[in-house]
Amino acid sequence: MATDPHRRAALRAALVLGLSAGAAKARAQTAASGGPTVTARDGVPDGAARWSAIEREARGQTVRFNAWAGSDRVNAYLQWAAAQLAPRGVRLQHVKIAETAEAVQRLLAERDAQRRAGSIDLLWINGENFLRLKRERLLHGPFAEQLPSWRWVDTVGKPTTRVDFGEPVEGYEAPWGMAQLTFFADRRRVPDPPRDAAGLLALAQANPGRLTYPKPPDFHGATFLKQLLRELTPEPAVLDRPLDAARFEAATAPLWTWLDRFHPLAWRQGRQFPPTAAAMRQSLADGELAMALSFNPNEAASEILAGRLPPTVHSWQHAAGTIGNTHFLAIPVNAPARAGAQVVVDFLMSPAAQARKADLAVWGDPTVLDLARLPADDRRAFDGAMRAPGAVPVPAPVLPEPHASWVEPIERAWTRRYGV
Amino acid sequence: MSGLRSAVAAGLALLYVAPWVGALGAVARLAWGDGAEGYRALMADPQTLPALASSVATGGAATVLALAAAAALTVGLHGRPGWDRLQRAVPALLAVPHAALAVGLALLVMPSGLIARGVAMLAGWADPPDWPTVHDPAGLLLIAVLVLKELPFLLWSLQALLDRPDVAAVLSRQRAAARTLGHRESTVWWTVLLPAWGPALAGPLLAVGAYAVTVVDVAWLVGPTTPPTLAVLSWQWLQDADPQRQAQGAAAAVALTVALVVLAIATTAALAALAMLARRQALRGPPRPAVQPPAAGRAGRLPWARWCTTVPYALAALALALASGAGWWPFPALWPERWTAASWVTALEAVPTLGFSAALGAAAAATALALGLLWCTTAPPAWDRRALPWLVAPIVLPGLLLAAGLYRVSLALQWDGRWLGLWAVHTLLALPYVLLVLLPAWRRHDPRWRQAARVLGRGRWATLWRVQRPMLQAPMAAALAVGFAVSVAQYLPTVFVGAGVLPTITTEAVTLTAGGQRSLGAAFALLQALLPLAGFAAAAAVSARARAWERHA
Repeated sequence: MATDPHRRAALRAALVLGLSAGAAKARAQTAASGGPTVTARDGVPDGAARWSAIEREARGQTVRFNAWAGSDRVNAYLQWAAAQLAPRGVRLQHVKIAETAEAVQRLLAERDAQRRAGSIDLLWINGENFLRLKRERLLHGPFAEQLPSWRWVDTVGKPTTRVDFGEPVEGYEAPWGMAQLTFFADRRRVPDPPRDAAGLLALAQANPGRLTYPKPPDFHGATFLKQLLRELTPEPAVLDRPLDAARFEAATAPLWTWLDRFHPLAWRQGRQFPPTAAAMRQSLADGELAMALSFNPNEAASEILAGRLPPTVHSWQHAAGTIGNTHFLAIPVNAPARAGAQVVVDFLMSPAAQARKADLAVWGDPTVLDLARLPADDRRAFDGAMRAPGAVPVPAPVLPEPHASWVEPIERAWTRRYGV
Repeated sequence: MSGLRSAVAAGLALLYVAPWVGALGAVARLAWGDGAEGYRALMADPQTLPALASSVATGGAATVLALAAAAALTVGLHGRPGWDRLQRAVPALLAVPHAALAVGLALLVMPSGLIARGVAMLAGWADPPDWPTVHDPAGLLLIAVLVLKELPFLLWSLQALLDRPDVAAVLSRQRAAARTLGHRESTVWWTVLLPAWGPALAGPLLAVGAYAVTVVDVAWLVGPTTPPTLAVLSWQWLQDADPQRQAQGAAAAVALTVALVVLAIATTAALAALAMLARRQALRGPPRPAVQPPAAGRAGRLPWARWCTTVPYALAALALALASGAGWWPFPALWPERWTAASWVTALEAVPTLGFSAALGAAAAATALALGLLWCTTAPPAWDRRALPWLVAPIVLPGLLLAAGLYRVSLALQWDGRWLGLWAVHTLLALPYVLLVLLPAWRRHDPRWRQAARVLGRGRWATLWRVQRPMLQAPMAAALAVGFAVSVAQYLPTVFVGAGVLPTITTEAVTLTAGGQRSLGAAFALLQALLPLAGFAAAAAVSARARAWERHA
């Protein structure tokens, strides 16, 4: 799907010009929420003027985007994005990394060396890595809520676009895509997917030795524990507040009871656990496991398309909801191409780029935008994204992550009970 | 002019040690930055002690078994056609990345692997069995992979040793003496030759042991999980965004290093004791007269031993080749349901980086060899022992920390993101391996050759070039090939110092396979073996020519 450059240029002009009308509401919201107030100068809205200045400055810049490269679909999508950005004078360079931690280490080293022109212009990030960089004041911002595309972001329906694992984003990173814990299995083996933790236990009883989860503190394994905790704990509201050590025992007891019953029925009797969700997906394809899990609701569908899973695989989420979060784009404080990076982020958040990203044939990453608020033309671009064999038929509500202070005590308690 | 020579050697040592001191600063800051916090966390963690035990047990067992197997193969095969055939296979075996062998073997033995599928066909299983063959708690598969991977390196080092004209001369004298006295040849090997050369093998053996105890990727891929080895835990903690976890990871790395130093001292002492015993033994003569001369029947069993080394590699390569093109492959089918070229399409897009990787590897290995030779010719032999910890340190310490430390050094020099910085860092990383291969061969080279040349009026450099170089050609080629392979395999230092903008075949392979997609990983594993294979094959050709020349002369 090649985009006509003339149409793109027109679209851009419309975006910039239309900003005064479209952004007025957003500005009003920002002002009301105590965000930065915007003043007008010479009758030109400051936001629009600032944005065209950024666009001018961005011309000729190379944006070194440090992004996890473990998916050929993501990489191909970034190549497409680079081609789209070229006419705007911004060169998008995908710097491939295997772990975000590598980029964090580099930024810390550059800070210590007082390097003002760093090696990273843009970073794909969320959760603990964001928290660390934000606390160390290594991120440029706030910038995200001033971008033209921000006005389409669904901050109400998708509150994790402004709160990243319990940490207020405050404009220091821009939402890029949505994630929600999703299970998948072969329909022939699991015809009626479980709807909750009790159903999951029953599934384990019916398939002894075929169910498991990645070993915490693996990201997906920890999320699996958080999901069960949310479902089983007597007072879920406690999880949204900072950890109260006195209530840890009572809050987590049902989780350990559930795991004590699950492990004897699990793969290798719960004495070993697969290292990652990717390993589980492979074991599902091999027939060693009956179920796998992912943070991408469309993962099974795209694996079916790629011919790596049989077309009989289907996905589901627990009826009362599953844990969800958002992944983001951040600009280091010492990025030489800060203007170019903002142009890239604005493009990646735009309806056109988000629609293509959500397309299963391309990547299948759920959008951060509010489709209901999009103009009809832009909304139609998302139509193909939803219905594909293997995708979640009825999305469940998104449950928030427990407050970050709960995570480590849960992981420690898990390790003490089951990890040695 | 020994003063000048020592000064050159000291300068060289400084040049080598300085960047490591800078890099180790990063380690120290994390390990001692906030006092004993990291150590307290490490001691309080219930995984620490079992993980340390697991590291030492798997690494130690792998090292001892690899040494025993290398010795047995040498005794059984050396001087026979089987030895040459095995040595011809060694370059290919050395070129296979550790992780590739681990994945390939796992594809064979896992519950849905090729072996289980074969059994399922006969036994009529519909589902994969509950075999704890991968990630087994005792780490048996981890040990097996390490033994298989380190064995070729030890055989290679042994060959480099045995190829030296002076050693070859001793060898044939001892053999003749043994035959004359009616001893079994193997008795002479076990009681005299191998113990006497043990100290010469200390360098390679130390590298093997250090690698086996601290390896992360292989232990992560096939090692135990509850708990994993301490190296894996340390790596996981160091990756954590939480500074306290990082401190715990650094503390774990320090603990692992201490354990390793203890092991290394014990091993070196044991080798020295063996050598002393062997010297006494040699004075007294072999312990028992052999009842029978070397029997022809013995040789009949040996090809079997040779296959034990090469066949697992061939099967692993076969499994990888199958997996690289396999789409959905349900159990218990012996053949994938769907084939796909997608992984090879992606992998082949990375082919252009092969040229840069080769150039970088060649430059780094050649520089490291030149610096290594400069050390050999200028440093007094007594200095080697003091240099040893500095040579082993970069092999032992966690790659993430060292890479971050080297990045700090390259930032200070403004060498980051530049060819120059990568060349310097790869040279620095290749140098320890080059020296570990080169030093033992060089130091045990009979000094009388050099003295004779000097007496005949040759200058130092003429002696080096005309006398020592031809005689030490094989170990030099071996060192070059090892240095080349080390450079090609670097991931973290390349990403850090290259700031990610100078991609090599290894950075492409590691980043593109980070998603854990099996077919892509398999395709890259095969592609990654290409460059080291070429390097080791070239070194093997040099040493074969040297042997031919030897026989001719």
